[in-house]
Amino acid sequence: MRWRIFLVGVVVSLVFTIYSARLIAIQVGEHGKFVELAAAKNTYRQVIPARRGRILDAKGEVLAMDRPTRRVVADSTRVNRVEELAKLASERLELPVREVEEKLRSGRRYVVLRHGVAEEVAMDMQREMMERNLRGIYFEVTSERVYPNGALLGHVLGFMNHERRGVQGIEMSMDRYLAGQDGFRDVERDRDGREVVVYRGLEALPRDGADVELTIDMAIQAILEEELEKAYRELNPWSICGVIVRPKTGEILAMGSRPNFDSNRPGEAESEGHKNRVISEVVEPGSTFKIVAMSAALNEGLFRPESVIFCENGRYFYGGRVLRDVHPYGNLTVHEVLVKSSNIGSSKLAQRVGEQKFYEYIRRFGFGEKSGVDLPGEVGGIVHPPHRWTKLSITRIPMGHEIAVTPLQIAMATAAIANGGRLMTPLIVKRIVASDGEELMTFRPVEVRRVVDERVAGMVKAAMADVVGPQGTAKLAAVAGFRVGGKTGTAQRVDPRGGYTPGKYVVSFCGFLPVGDPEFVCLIMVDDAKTLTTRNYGGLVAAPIFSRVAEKVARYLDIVPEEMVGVLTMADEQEGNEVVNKQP
Amino acid sequence: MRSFYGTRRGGVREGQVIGMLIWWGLLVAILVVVAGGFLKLKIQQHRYGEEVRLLEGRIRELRTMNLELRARISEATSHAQIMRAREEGRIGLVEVSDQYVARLVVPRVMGGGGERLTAQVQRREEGVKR
Repeated sequence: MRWRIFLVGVVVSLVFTIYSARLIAIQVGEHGKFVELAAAKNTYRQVIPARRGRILDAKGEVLAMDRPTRRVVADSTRVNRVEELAKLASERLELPVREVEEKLRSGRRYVVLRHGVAEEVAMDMQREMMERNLRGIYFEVTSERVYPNGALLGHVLGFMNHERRGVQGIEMSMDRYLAGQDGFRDVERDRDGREVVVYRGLEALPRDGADVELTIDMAIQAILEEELEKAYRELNPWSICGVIVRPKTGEILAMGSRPNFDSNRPGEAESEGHKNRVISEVVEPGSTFKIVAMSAALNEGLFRPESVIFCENGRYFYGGRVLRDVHPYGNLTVHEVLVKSSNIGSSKLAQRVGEQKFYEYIRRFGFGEKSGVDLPGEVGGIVHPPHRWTKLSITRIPMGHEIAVTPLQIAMATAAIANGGRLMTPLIVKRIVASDGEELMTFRPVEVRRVVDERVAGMVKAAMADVVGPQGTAKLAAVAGFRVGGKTGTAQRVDPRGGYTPGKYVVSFCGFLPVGDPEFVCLIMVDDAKTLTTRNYGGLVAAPIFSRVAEKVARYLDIVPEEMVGVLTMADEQEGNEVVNKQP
Repeated sequence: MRSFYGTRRGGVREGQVIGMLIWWGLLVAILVVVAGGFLKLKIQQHRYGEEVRLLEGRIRELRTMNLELRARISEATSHAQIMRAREEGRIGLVEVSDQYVARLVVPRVMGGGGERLTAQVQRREEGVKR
């Protein structure tokens, strides 16, 4: 009997010992593994998304912002009534029932049903699920980027990819400030998938992105784009672009191109529409470049504005080739060379300056290098050093051939003349403000270098004012009430396969007003306008567009007119007089 | 330890039994109080957690609604929308005479004559002859 009791005791003890050993092994030895398994079953890291910063214009108008949306996801292991849930989801999310059912039966713990669901739709669906005691579908907070102005300013703002990274424009160049930092929270869910707050673990709050304020003024942008759009429809060119700059500071007030795209739907546009031509298109500038030759010649003290140059009666033999003027001229003063846009006169000015010196002036005006604007995709243009020039180059470059520049470079060079000889860095970002209102960065005007003496800039400015006068090539650029300065440009379109495309021209006008104290510089460039060849000149195509834009911008900026034109005074109004043109 | 029911040598002493009962009763009571308190705290904690979750949800909803409304306001007041409205004839531009343009950006005390600071007045003050 005792022996039997002893045996039973031993067996029981042995069994308990084995169980104990196993328990110890599980509880102590494999503790970590089972804790992880348990955690994985009910806990997860919830991402708390940071709000991407807004993009604002100079007056605080919102140009880009986040709109909250929901990502509808399913945990098929927690779905209780598949058919019922699939029907509800397909109705609310506008998805085929079969597709939803397949996803709900997939056995996967995370499957996306639909991105970018509107907040109210998600809320309604969530409410109905709770009422009908359905579970297994969750609504993650996400956001979509909204550009309230649609296609307006699209090239400058850019857009974002699916990973919420900027891929063009300010969205790309300022991505590190706009993006912010997502937060997270380790949470545990109960049987119904709801968070158990008591067991909330590690938590890090998100850091919202900073707001980026631009120098762009949407009112001016709207004026520019309205006129560009009108011209794009009327002239049907390959492309058209424009930029408005404040010469004293280098601030860009407006920038636009056609064809363009809507930042809300960037995929719908052709690839050509994505190109910001103001900074990424290189063209031969044509006669707008003559200001460089004149500035160089005057600044070197080789000529005075009234110095006379013989313009060979319109045919100039040099280097075995003939250089022609559109109209034949005999003797012209340096001032008149610019006013009449004489190719021969400009080439003679540059020859006198000398190849090396002239090349230095080209570089001093900012050509051949990136301007440094805070936009991605800018190109520096092509300016060959003198040792790569041909014998003809010194006669062709002064008239804007054999050189490739961006429209922004032309505008900034003109701005340098307008502001008294200082080349400024173009500014497009004004300041960066953190989500709590703290100013992180302010972008101040930066003077790159002094290009020419202030006195010389004044001389060139005076000549540019006469370009818009009765004797000049840009009469149509005139703006009632103001003295306008500027320069036209007409260049043959470069064929990508080499040489020029016959009958196709890139025409431009770059001007400023008022001449006395320029408030803005505006460049309009039209590439291959579908118009008569005899009419396809900068002075006839681009100058009128400039005039319309400049007039509206001057009114908007409330610039004091220099001349009384078409003003009806109170006295006239009382006497019933009509509007008449008056001189001051 | 002595048996609860007494010893071989003699009967159970009443005092001892009562003492033991009190002792165990006290122990059980303490355990019940501690366990109950713990349970109550846990339930309270859970309830507060639920409240926190609901409040957080509500705050999130309000923030979301706020963002949504701000996005709608931005869209409705954007230049593109205003231009569209103008093209459709829903709004129109009115010519504003120079003497009615008040200079809001340069706040000034009105003159002795009570004259408003308008574009016209400012230009006159700056010596621009019209």
